[in-house]
Amino acid sequence: MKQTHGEQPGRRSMTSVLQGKHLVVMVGEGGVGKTSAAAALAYGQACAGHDVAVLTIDPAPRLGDALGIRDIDAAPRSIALPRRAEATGSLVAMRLDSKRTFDRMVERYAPTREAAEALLRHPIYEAVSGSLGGSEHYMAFQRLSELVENAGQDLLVIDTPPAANAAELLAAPARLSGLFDTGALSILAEPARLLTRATGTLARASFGFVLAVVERVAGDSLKTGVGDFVRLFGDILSGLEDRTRAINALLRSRRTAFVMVVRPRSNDVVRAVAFQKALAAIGLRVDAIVVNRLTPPAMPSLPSRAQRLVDAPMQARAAITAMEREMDSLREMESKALCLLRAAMTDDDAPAVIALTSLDVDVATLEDISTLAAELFAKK
Amino acid sequence: MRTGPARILFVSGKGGTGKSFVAEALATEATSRGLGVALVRVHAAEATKAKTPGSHGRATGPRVRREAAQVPAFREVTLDERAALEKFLTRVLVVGFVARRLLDSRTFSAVAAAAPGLRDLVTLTAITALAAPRRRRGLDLIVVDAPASGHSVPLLTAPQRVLEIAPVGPVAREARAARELVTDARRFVPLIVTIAEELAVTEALSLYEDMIDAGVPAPRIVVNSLWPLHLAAEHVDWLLASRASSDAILHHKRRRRQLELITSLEQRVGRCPALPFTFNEEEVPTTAIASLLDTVLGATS
Repeated sequence: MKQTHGEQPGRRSMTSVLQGKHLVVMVGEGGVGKTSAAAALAYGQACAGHDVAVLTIDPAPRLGDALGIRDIDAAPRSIALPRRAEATGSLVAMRLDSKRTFDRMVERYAPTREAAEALLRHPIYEAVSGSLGGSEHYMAFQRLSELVENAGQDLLVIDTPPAANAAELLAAPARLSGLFDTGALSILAEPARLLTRATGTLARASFGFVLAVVERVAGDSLKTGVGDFVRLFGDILSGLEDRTRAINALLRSRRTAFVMVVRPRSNDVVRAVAFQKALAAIGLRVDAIVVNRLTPPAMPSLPSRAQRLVDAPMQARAAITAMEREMDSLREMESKALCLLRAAMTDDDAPAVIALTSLDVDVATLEDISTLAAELFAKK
Repeated sequence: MRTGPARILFVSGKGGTGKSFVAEALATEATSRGLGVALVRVHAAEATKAKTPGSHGRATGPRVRREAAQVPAFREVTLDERAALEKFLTRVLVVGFVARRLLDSRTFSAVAAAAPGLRDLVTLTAITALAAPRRRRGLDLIVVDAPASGHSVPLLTAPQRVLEIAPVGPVAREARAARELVTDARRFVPLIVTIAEELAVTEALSLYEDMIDAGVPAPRIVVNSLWPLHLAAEHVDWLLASRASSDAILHHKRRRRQLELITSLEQRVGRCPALPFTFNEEEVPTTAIASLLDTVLGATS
């Protein structure tokens, strides 16, 4: 894939990374500041004149407040932009409600209203549609495809639940399609169908055997419960499969960018590089890696600094020296991690590496988001 | 110490809080005290996760200490989902070849995936089996490096969920035994690792409540990576007014913000032990780990 000419790989700006992109998927482990980075990225592009929507999963309470979407069922919210940007750009913040998204999917694809209701009330559905087992990842993508269909924005930024590796991020759709794999489940739902179909004797024997064992170890109620569920779900299967295919294609589109967020720690960087390679192996290209929360450089020592320390109380002087030494160790730790990352990203089509200096506090206000955005889109 | 069943120290927490690091350091410390220890890693996808050489198992910080002090290694157990399922099925079916045949069936995989809690129950019983008296093989303490918070609660509620859908039969028997163990404060010690950041603290609190709702003993919350204290309270004003050092001010502000969050956390759950931030990724705060182990084990012995 050809990159923008005239720029050194790994040194491209965020503006250049996002050129022509319609969708940005933010990925990374928990606690790296992914949601703040997503908000900043969306804010920056909105200020540059685009109509942008940002979908977050689980913002920290104060960040949620800043975006006006603290509650899980919060309605989409327009975010105020600086006056000069308002004429051309816009920003909408949304929260993922994964249970609600799953319900909507059922309502949409079920053949009848009654079928939808029966499924929504089924105990197994309750268990599958909750946040367990990674269905949140799947629902994030599901919601995304709803938005792509309906939204009037030119850019969607989507935050994903924390994932340390490709397997975790993409296992959910795979698991769901595995679960709804027609071959396996329709058999369970409709034993009679099997007998009328030209299926091998072996498959028939295997099926009878499985049912007998399930009944023996777990009782009849599990067998009927699962069968019931599968029959209900079978109806919405084809809709779901089409949707999954569409999402997979969307994620691999040239107009989609993956942006990974990582902390400046060597161990984290090593995992991030492996994650990026694993995504590449399944056709998902990471376009930029944001190294978040670097400690700001020490202020250049002012002529008066030494003088000031001389004025310090004796014990304070020792304490301050210790604190300064620790801040230096921290910077050393971070720069080691950053070097490690840059060294791994030297190929022509390697992701851009963008380093962000941390704010003094957690990102909690629109002003913080705007500060972060300014840094994210700073000219190199 | 070697009489009675082994205890399970269940270490969970949000990703990025250093949960695995703490679990391993605790296992190392317990081993150095002469206990028979197993460290069980339960992250489903962990096997594919790349680690720096030196950040995994035997090779992390504790290694230095172990070599120096000739401390025997703890046992490391990585759960293999298929093997655990095979063992589980062999137990409930009694016949091994039937279990293997079942595992090869696609229909069965579908049932196993759909049945709520079954996979989690298999994982949980693989852990509890290690603590069973007759299979203990010299183990006193089983440290579980549990999955990130969102997946920990489903693991602990698995017995209940399975019992709701399959109240009778051999599977139900397994579920009851597992439920009994995780609700027994003498045998099951839950620990939540957090860092003093807003989202992490919120998540630790909700995990704390969810675990109590799940019927397990009240977890202890440990705050990892607390910034060290250098500057005495009476000198803070001087530092802020004189602005003698931007680094010292930054250092001070970070710690102050952490303390605010810890205060709000402790108002909800009582005193929380802390581990200091280490300015080197490989360094283990051994003194603090030792005192944490005293705290968690003392709580139940």
